[in-house]
Order: sequence, then structure tokens, then C-alpha cells
Amino acid sequence: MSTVLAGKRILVVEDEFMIAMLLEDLLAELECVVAGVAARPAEALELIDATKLDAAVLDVNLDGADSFGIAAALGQRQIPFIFATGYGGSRLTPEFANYPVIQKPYRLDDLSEALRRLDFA
Amino acid sequence: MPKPSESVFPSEDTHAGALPDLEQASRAELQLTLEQLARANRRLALLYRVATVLMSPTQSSFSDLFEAIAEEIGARYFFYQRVDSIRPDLLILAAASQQRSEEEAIISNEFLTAAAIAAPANQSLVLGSSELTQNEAFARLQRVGLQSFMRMPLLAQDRLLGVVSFASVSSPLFLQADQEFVRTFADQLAAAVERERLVQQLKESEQIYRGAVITGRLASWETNMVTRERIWTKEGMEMFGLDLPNGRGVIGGDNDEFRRTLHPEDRYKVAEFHQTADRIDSYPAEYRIVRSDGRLLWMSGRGRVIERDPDGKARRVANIVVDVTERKKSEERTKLLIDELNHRVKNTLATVQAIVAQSLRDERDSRGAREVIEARLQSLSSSHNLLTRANWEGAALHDVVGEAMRPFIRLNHDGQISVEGQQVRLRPKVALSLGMALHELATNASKYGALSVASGQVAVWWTPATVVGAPYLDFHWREQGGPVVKQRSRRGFGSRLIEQGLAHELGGSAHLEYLPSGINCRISFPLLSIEEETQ
Repeated sequence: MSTVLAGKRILVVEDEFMIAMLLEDLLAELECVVAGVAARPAEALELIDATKLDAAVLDVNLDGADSFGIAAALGQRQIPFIFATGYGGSRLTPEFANYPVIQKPYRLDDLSEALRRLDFA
Repeated sequence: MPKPSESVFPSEDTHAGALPDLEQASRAELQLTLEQLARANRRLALLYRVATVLMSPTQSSFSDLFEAIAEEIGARYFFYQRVDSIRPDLLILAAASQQRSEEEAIISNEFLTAAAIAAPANQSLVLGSSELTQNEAFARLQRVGLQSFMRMPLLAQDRLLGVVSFASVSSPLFLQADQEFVRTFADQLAAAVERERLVQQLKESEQIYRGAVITGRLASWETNMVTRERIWTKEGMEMFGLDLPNGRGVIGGDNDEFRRTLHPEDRYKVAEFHQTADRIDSYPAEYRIVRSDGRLLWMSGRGRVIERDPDGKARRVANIVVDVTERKKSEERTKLLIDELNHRVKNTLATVQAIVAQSLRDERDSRGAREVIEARLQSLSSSHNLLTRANWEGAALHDVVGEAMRPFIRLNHDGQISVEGQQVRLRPKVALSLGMALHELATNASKYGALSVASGQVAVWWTPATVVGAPYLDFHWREQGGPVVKQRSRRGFGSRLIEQGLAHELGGSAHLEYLPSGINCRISFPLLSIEEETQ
């Protein structure tokens, strides 16, 4: 389906397992490799340290906690990412206001489009 | 209008012309003139005393004053009545006389009766001895020895405030000069009464205003752009947590108390307010303040320009604000709730999306897909109902299991499912996840496992555990007596959900065993705390 995204290793950060599973399936359709699924910030940070990643999809609200710390860690390693949220863009802090956001429920095309625009290393 | 030469001071020539007249005047005439002068002097002094006493009257100084006036005009009795007072018992404030004997007491009494009958009235009344005889009400006065009577109204713009009356036992008629003197006295008294009434009115209105200010949590102050100062009311300072000598503040600079009290993010508004005041007479103002005691308050109100300079720039601005902190808090709570609701709705929609996608993938025909989608949505919905009943604060594990199993309890098969475990309260997220997992287990059991035959049994139980000092829950599902189970070749949604998703989300572990006797499932996950989640 997409040569740009084929084989890209994507980290999924999502606290709701049904939605995480959905993202896994959508990413598989885009020929991406799900490099890991994290439900909590600590798990995500561990995965960032231990795994080779090309990009990440971050749910903004992780069971009450936010994912901005994870975003900062990815930024430091120059790993591109997109936010996933049900809030619209309003919940992003000014620091991340210009990052790509996809809305829940997801459209495969939106996910594909957002990922393709990322600056892969 | 008189020319200056006709004023009190006569011109040189008329003055020179008058001297010979004086020389020719008889001693008697001179004596009379001197007496008149002395009298005028005395009366002037007396009126001055009246003014002084009326500044802050006391009962005794007030009585003394009346006695002095009465003596001056040769009267023995006086009467003073106010008609404007609210309290009837205060109507007669001063009604006394120079009583010296029993006989005079009788006269005094008669006078008061007559005076009371005569009062109140807007016109003055002067009666000589001949007129007293003709007037029925006053004839009695004459019989007890009174010769003349005078009544003057106290008027404030034609409104009757009261009367003063005097009676004489010696002179047959009050002279024109006496009448004018008493008239002046009455006018002074009327002015004082009116002033007192206005002061009282002002006090009452001030009390009403203060009451409103305190009840409504209002703060007010005036900004004077010319003197560069603020004049605060007591309530204003209290609300802003300020303590300024004489309530005076400073506009601009480091000591600007208003700017300093404003929340740092709202301080830019001060300059805006000043600019707005130069253009608009009345403008809204809303900002946060941080008091010296650390309390943050939301203020909302208006500024109103009360004076401008010739160029139109605001000179003085009256400010009034009300504490709207409670309203703001409630607005914030509402916004938070709406945000949270939106978050849940969107997540639920994404969950529905996942359910539909998975079901379409697993089921071969659309009818089968529709059935599993319906059942899964039904299960999700009943978990939501369970949580809504407890304000989304949590759910009891027994209830979560009960809701998940309800569609699969077959008539006349009460004993097929057994549930055992102590009371455990689950967080909403855990309740939803476990509810979905149980739905998958039960659906599978009713299609292929223990619940597909009458002899099958499902046992559900749980026990608290501790893993590295943290409270955990061990949850078990065991099927027995069903058809012989074969390891499934293709991993369906249910097993993926339990083994990957659930374990992942709960931060624990989940194992599915396809034993020949039936499916075994063991889920182990951390609880927030034993105290919080087990009862």
C-alpha cells in the first residue's frame, strides 16, 4: 500500500487496549511494524530506550496522565511522532501545538497521511 | 440693585450732612437709638449662639436657647414641636417654660394646650391681647393672664417641619422687630432640622449601600488620574487584602497596589483599562487577583468615568467589582466535565471501531458479524450502565462478572455458573476491560465450551495476592464438563484481547489454557491498593 511506510518500526502509546489493538491492525495494513505497545509513560520510556524506532503514535491522555514527557524523550532522540486524541488540538501544550494530530475514531487514510508526512531519519 | 454709594456705608457728603441732625437730636431720641443698637447687638449675638448650639445640640443647651430667646422678646412661655419625626413620642422635643409657681404651672399648661391646638400650620400667627379675646381657643390664655401669642412655622421649601410658639404675660403685642427676630430664629432652626433629616437619610442610604456591598461581595474604589492616587473603600481593601493608610493607593510605579495584587498574567490589563477609560465612559473589567494571603480570586465589574479633562482624557474613574470566584470555579468544573465526557465518547467510538473491525475480520458471513458486533456492543453498554450507576467512580467485581454472564445464564440451569470471591472495587477502566474479556470468554463458552451443553460448569473465583509487596488480584475462570476442547488453530479476537490487550492494559498477566476438560483462564493484575479496592 505504501512504500514509504513499509517496514517502519512504530511505537504505539495507548492506554486502552481495544484502541491499541485497532492501531496495531491499522498500522499492519500500512505495512508498518509495531515495535511496541505501551499503556503507561514509564513503559513507553523503557521502550524508547531499548528499541529501535522510526516513529510513534501517542495518545494524549493516558488514563489521566499526559504523554508530553514521552513526546519530549522522542524529540531528544529525533524520533518523529504524531498525537492521537479525542480532544481536538486543544489539549496540546504550546510546545507541541504544531505537531500532527489524528482524531479518534481513526480513519486509516488520516493515519497514513500523518505518518507519511513525518521526517523519517 | 443698589449702587455702591447707597450701601451700608454712607458716602462722604451724606455722612457730613447727617452730623448736624445728630447734634440737634434730643437726649431721649439718642437714648432710644442707643437702646435699639444694643438690642440689635444682643440679638445678633443670640442668633450666633443659636447657630453654635444647632451645630451639635444637647437637650439642656437647646432648652437654654429657647429661654434666652423668650427672655429677649419678653415672652415667658415657649413651645416647640416637630411634625416630621417618625416617632410620635418625639413630636414635642422641647416644651418647657420658666415655671416658678403653681399658678404659673397652670398658665404653662394652658399655653401648651392652646399652642398644641394652634399647631401645626404653614403660616405665622401673631395675636395681641384684643385678638386673643376674639379667638375661642386662645380666650382661655387671656383668662390665665397671657397677653400676646406668636407662632412661627419651620419651613424647608414650603414643607412644614414644625413650629415654635411664644407667649408673653407683660406686653400686649409682639413688636414687628420681635416677630422678625423669631422668624430668623425659626428659619435657622428649620435649616438645622432639615440638615439633620438629610444626614439621617444619607446615613440610612449609606447603611443600605454598605449592606449591599457586604452581602454582594462588592469592592469599590476611585482612580484619580490627576493626583495619581486611588481612594479605596473599606470593603474594597478587605477584598483585595490591602491595608493602606487612609485608603490611599498609588497609580503606577513599584508601589502600585492594584497592579501588584493582580495575577501576573493579568497585569497587562491595567494599561488597557486606562486607555479604555480615555475613550469609553463605562467599560467591563475582569481579572484575577492574588491576595497577600495567597488566595486567588476572580473579579468582575466595571469602570465608570466620572470626570474628564477638556481633551476628553479620564480624570476620575469609579470602579466596582464583585467576587465571581465561585462562578468561575463552577465554569471550570463544567468545562473539565465536558472535556472528560468528550474524551470518553471519542475513546468509546474508537473502541466501537475496534470491535467492528475485529468482528468483520473474524466472522465469515455478515450475519455472524452482525451478531457478534451486537453482543459486544451490548456488553460494553452494560459495563457503562454499571459505572454510570456509581458516577463512574468504580464498580464491584461481583457486579462486573454478573453483568458479563447475564446473557448466558440459561433458563433452568441456575447451577451452571458459580462465582466466588471477596468484595473488590474496580476502577472504571479495569471494570470495562475485564467486562469485555469476560464477555469474550462467556461467548466462547456458550458456542463451543461448557455453556454449550447442559452438563457444563463454569467456575469463576478470585483471591487477593501480593506481588513484590504490591496488592494484586488473581482472577480465575475454569470450564468443565463441556465438549472436548481442541487447541484453536487461528487466534481470534477473544484470545488476543485477553492475552495481549488485557494483560497490557492492566499491567499484569493473562494466560489462556485450552485443556481437554475445558478452557482455563488466569488473570493476575495489580490493584491500586488493598484499602482502596478490596473491602
